[in-house]
Amino acid sequence: MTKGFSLVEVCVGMLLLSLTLFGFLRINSFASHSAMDAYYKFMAQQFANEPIEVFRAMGYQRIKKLGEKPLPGYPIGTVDQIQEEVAGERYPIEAAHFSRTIELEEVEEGGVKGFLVKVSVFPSGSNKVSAWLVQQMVTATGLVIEEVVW
Amino acid sequence: MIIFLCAILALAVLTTYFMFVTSNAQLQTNVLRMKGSCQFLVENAVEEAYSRLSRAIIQPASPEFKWFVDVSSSPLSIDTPLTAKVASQVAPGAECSISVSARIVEKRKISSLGKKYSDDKEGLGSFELNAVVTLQSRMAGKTVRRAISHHDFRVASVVNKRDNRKNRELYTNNFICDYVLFIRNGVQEFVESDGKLLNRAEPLFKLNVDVDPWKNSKIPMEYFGKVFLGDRSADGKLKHVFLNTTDETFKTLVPGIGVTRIAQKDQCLQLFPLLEEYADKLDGLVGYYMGNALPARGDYILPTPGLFTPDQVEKLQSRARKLAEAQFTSDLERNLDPGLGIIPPDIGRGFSLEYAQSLLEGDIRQRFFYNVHFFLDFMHIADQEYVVELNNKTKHDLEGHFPVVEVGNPSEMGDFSAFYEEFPKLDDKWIQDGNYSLRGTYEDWFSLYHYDGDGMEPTKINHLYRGDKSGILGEVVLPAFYSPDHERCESAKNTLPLQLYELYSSTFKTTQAFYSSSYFRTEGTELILSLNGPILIRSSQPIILGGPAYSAVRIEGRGSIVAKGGFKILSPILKRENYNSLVLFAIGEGSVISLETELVEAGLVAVNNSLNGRIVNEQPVTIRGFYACDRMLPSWNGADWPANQQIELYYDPGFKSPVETLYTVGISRAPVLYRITGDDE
Repeated sequence: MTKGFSLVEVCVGMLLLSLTLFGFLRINSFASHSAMDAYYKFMAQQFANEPIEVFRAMGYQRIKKLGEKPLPGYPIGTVDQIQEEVAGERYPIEAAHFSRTIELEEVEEGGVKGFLVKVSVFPSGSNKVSAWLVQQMVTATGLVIEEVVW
Repeated sequence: MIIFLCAILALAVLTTYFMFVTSNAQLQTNVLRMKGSCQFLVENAVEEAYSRLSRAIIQPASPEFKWFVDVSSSPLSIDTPLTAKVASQVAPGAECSISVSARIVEKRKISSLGKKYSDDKEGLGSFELNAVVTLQSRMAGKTVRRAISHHDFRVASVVNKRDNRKNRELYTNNFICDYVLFIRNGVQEFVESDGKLLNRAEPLFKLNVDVDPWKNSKIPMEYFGKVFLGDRSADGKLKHVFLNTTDETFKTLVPGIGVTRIAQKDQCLQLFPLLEEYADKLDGLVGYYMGNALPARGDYILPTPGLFTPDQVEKLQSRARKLAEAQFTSDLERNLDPGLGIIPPDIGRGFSLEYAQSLLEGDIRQRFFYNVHFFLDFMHIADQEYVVELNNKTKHDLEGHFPVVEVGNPSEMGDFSAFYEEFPKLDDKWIQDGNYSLRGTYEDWFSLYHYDGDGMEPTKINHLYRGDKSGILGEVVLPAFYSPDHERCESAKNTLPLQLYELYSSTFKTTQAFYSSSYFRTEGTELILSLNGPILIRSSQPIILGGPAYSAVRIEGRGSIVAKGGFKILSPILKRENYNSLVLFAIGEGSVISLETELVEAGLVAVNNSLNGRIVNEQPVTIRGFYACDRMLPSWNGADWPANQQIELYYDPGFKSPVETLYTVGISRAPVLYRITGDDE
């Protein structure tokens, strides 16, 4: 008599194998999601940090005059979608999937003034970025301190 | 089967590893975000610390200011409340701690050219700002960031300590701020104009030497600005100027040089032989020689008017004028117009050595007549009725006053030929005994820094003499000027202010760069000029301050502007607070400060190596600061100072500090070293 697996054994084996492979698939899917979330989150963080760096380089006095002399590419208080052509030149091409808002708040403590720069970066509607990002908004906050005249 | 199981196992391992890597990537994103926030915060902490330091060092009373000036070895802790306030927003959900300290890295007290600064507080150096920010969160762990930022700093004096009654002993950048009026080549200009430029019926300057125009109060003597009118002519022969005084200023500036000597009965009889026949009844008779000085101009008001009748006063004045005219030998001496209005007439001060020392520097002479009068005193004669009888018998008013002079007609006061014959004999005898002659004369030598001739060494010109030349009232300081190498100069003409140039807080190549700098801003109709230390503009173009668009140029802080091309002042210059100060130095060739406004609250300096620096005004101007130039007119061609261009001059006592040197501290914004390091757990 030939030794072998019964049908039941094969079915149970197949089930266990399926469950195992499904687990692997889930883990793989979760890992992929994490990887893409990290990728886009990191990218969003860079977009959020950028205006803060730019404003810090400009200085407090220039920021005070942004009302009269706005800085192209860095609108204050409005949702600004990063344009595809701009994205292609200055940012990774996928930047076109993001929008950004910049808010300024004047702060003062102990006689020293500054501008609190709050930047929020989020996907521009439903797109692959919104699909991958776990948190749909990445924020960064920075401070620009008033320089002394002399 | 085994192969299959191995494949499953391998798949499990790879999947788990993939899971681990991607989860780690996600975690790393959070960690990176935390690190980014930490870096933002540490950079903000350094910037805020710098900002707070910059604000603190403009206040000399602040600990930060003293920390820089004294080069403290202890680190300075700096609070950064604004950074702490925003930390929760920059790094939400994380615990944050921030600390910032500063330390002096080094300070150089000798310039790169090897020149020693005027004291050990001045100098250039660098300091370090060290900020540490720690963020700790459950998700991202602990992140530490340290920022080290090195900046240059400089400590420069704005007012160097000066006791008006003592000399400086080395070069200081700001020595010229000691003076309310400083004419560097004044003696030469005095010679060229035969003394007329300094002695005019309408004085060029109205000096309010002891009035604080902001507080409307009196300035203590130790805070006076001094007057220096040069130290020698171009050929070196003349080393003094004279300023004719008014009757009022004479009393203030010239010590009481009166003299009283007593002639006993026998000497009285020698002078008045007609009394000899009454000698037996004249026991107790004494004669008094009373000498006094009268200014060589003005109304010749006698210091003791009660002694003289109006008729006698008139005759004495007439005699004094004739005496002067007889002794004048040159145009320079003939000028009897009043000099600069050095002392306002209502000053209400008597002479004091301290006052004169606090005000004048250099050989500035006063001219006067030394008048000696003789009178007989019959008060001690026992029989007073006999005195009346005596007057009737001699037909003379023996109680009158007899002028004792070398020239002139003695008969004006009656026939006292014997008196005038005998008096010189007595006088000669007194001179032989070591006394000063009592004969009245015209004197032009009185000087706080008296010297007796060309051969006298300057070091000996340091005594204030009484009028009789026999008593020294006290030692006074001589003008002393130094080169940037701290070597004594022969003359003020051999040195210039602000030569230790490395202590400038900023330098500009063009005037436009200066106008565009952050030192200027506009507030309404005023142009605000914020200063902290000296600024150099190398351009040969004049600096224009103000203009039709501005109602005033408002000064904040303390400092000076050094312009090689001079200045044009088109709007009033006003100080924001009493503490603020501005000095405009025009020290280039052909430097001119042109004043096209009526009020300037600043010190003005126009001096250069060619000795032709000038301050020009086309209209009357009030200066509340000080006035320093090489000469007042480009040349003297007989023309008078233009009409209606009088300068009312107040000294800003903020430019004088008798006890301590006042400094400015400046720190550079650009770091010379910047480094951020960190640890993560």
